[in-house]
Amino acid sequence: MSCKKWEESIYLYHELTADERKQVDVHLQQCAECRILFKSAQRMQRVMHQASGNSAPVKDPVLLTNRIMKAIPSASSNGKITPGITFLMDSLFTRYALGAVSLLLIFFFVNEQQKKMEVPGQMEVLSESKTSVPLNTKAFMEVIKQERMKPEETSLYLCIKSNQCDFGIVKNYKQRKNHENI
Amino acid sequence: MPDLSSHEIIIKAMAGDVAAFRKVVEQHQSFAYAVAFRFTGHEEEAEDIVQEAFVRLWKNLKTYRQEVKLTTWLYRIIANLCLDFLKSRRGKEKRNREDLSKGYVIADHSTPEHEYQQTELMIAIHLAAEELTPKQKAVFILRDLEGLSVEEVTGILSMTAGNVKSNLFHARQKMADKLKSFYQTTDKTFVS
Repeated sequence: MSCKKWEESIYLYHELTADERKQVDVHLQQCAECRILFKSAQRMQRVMHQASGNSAPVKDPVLLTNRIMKAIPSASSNGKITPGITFLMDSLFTRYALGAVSLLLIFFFVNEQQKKMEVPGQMEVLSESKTSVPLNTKAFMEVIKQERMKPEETSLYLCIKSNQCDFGIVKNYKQRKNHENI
Repeated sequence: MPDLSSHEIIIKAMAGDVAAFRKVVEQHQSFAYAVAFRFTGHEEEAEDIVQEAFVRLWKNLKTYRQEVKLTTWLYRIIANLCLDFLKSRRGKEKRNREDLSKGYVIADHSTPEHEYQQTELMIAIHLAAEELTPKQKAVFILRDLEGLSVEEVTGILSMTAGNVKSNLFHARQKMADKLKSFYQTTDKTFVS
């Protein structure tokens, strides 16, 4: 279609500048096909304008208002402090500033750790202590052997169980038992 | 609450006054709902969007610049929510005629026939608009149905004037095609 380039201007006639409109008007006087399209587009615009008067009303305005008011964050949290914090956190500057502070803290922490590692005396002690401990298995086994050779410590429970205890309450209990058996 | 101007109510609401914010809601919810319904064509979806829009408005009221009209700001919030909705799976579902016919109230109900014709027109516009891309639909609704200027639409949708015009052209072209066929098949005539 040779008039394709005019199509957009015809549909956007009311969005054109005065000069652009004049150009379209001149073309419309010469082109019957575009005149038909123009009429159709204008009719459409009138229909849309008419349709814009019809709107959808809220079924129950009070109910919708109550629903909205229930959904908003409570008045107490919105009063003084929280919105201030929220407002601060919403600010891009605050976010970047907090990010920068976090990065600085991480940097200082890493730096401190590196400094500690770099103290020469400490490093030597650490390395010495690592290398100078000999693993003397013989001496170690000797200690274990001695531990095993030690006589077992007697507990009150074992003493009663083996009937070897002969003192105080235990002695009285034994005597009473013997008496009962007789 | 005593009779206060809209400006004073907004100032109070900005200070965290819940009663004042309730007034703001009462004053603007019908307009917000009408816009949301044009996008969604569904009562419940429109109410959900309106609710979310006012929650966002409340949360961001502190940052409100008074040189901008509150309605423009609300338009922006609603349009963004509606665009998200149109891109979602639910937003792509076809609307049924019953929902649409129940939703609209015809301004000029001089005769039952005229009222019926207008209801049919609204349904036809809505169904035709379902063929548009979300951006085309947003531009078409704001410019042709809400009657906003191109400058206002660019501000609301954060688009360039060229982008708005391009989307508007394609939207009008598609709508003309769809509505032409609708009126041919149902043998009705547009009002002249």
